[in-house]
Amino acid sequence: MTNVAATEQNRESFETALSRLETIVGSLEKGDLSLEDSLKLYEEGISRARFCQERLEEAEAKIEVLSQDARRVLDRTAKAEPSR
Amino acid sequence: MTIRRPPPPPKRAGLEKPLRERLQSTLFEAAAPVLLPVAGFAQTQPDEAPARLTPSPRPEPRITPISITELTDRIGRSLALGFSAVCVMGEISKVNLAANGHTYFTLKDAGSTLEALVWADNRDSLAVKPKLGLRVVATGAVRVYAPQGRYALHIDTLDLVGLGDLQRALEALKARLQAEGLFATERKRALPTLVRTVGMVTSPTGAVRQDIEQTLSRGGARVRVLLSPTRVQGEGAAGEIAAAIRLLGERDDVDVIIVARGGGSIEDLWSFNEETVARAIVACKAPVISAVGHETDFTVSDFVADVRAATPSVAAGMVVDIQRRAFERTATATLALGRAIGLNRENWRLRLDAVSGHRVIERERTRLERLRGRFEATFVRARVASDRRHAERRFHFRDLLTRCEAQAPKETFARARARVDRAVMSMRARVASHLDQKRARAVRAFESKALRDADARLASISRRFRDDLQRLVRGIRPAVDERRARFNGEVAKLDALSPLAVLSRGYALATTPEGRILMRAHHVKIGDPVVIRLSEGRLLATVTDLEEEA
Repeated sequence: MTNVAATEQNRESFETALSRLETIVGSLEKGDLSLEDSLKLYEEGISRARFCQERLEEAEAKIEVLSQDARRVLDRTAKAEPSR
Repeated sequence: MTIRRPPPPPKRAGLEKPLRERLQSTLFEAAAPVLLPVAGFAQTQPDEAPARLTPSPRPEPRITPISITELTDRIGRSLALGFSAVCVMGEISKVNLAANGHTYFTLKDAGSTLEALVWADNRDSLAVKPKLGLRVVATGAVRVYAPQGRYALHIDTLDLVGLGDLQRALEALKARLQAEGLFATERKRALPTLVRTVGMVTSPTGAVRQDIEQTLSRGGARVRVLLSPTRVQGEGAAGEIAAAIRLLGERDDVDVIIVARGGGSIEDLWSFNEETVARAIVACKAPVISAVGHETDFTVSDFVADVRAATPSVAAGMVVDIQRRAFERTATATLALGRAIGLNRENWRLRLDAVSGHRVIERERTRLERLRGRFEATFVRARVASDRRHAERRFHFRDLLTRCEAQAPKETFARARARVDRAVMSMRARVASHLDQKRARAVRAFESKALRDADARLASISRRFRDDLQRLVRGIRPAVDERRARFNGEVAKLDALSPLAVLSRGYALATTPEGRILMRAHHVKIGDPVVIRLSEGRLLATVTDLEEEA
């Protein structure tokens, strides 16, 4: 259940991270920040950009077919995922 | 299946009689089978049995085969006798308007189907135009079409009974779901910004699955497709579809679900009108795209889904677009981040060069002032101490001199005193200048160190910017470039396959004045303007008649 929540949060936060990154770029482009604030924003921006990129890179093209037997499928996926 | 090329309607005298008369005379007689002697079936003569006891050496063959044409002809005559005027009730399905103007469709009820047709010249006199799902009472004659060995009801009159049972149930369900607010746009969720796993609910063997997978791979989408296979028509299919949606909805790794089926008759698509499917879509955790049938088909699943796609390929295209946008937004923002910080760095450099009241410099200056203050205090203390020492010495000398003065010539002492005074003063001055120099050196050292520190910090920041950016841009550029190249390639291919190319072969394209391509007659009304696009030039036309078909 915690795993589910974590992934859910992960999925949710791509949008959050990307929006935040865009806001940061907007603030930096205005250029009226102190060096200290700019640095802080920049560092946050870099880490958000890296996060987004990692989420995008994680995706891979492949096709899997689920069985109609829900329990079996869920069990199998739960077992298969950690080893991957 | 419909009969493609029926014979022209035979103009027999019997048919010219008013229908009601024919109905009265033949409708109830039809129950009695009309038996015609038919050769070709083994007919045992009663007097043949004893003959077997004393077999003749060569029995005369009594069974003479007849031709298929002959048999069909006899069946046709038999049907014409028994079913020349019938009145039936059923639901219309599979309507097909042929190019020759005749309308073919199927009449059906719970147990059986009956092929039916309306002659082109009879069409306008019908009370009801044949339309999918209508429940009708039809009168006409059953006739055989010999070339295909089929029979069909040739319709004279057609009257509406009401909406078909299916249609009525559908309207009731739609009204109920709408009242619950399940069709409301406010309830619909937006598609996610990032799609890594697509859940697909469709038949594992259908063309739809291939369409979706091909669209995804052609679009360069890097997504995992999780197919939850299901039947998409027939008894029990709705339950399977709902279960497949729930199965994907329970998973935490599915970002969006496509519920898809190819085109078909209204009965084929019916599973997607069932309440159980609608409920599963509404309850689903991930957003659902419904892509059922062709562009003109609407099912309940389309109304309750978060997004309706005209076709399964369109649904897959949405996923491709989401991913392309996610990549491009990330790349754009990352590059802009570098540009923005670069701009700011220039600003700081300018401000630092002017040694303005920037915070770093300000802070360094404060530190410097504090140190200088401390140094000044030390200096003042040293100075005071040294002054006191000199003063003490001077007093000491003065005292000594005063005491000596009484015993020595006045002039000598005055000179000696002056010398002592000068010596003491010069010593004091030397010490003071030494202290001043020390103080100046210290101040210079502090100041230059502050500037050096600030410069070094900027340099290291610059280096880090460059490294960070290079890493990020290196990471994301190839992916974007690759997608762009693939996209351009697809555009080129599309150009080569332009549907307009076929115009040069004599085809024409009918559109509305707004440019919407006309696929079906009922997309326009009589009197509507229509633009017909030819290989060269276009015709502006007006609709004078409509021949509708499914």
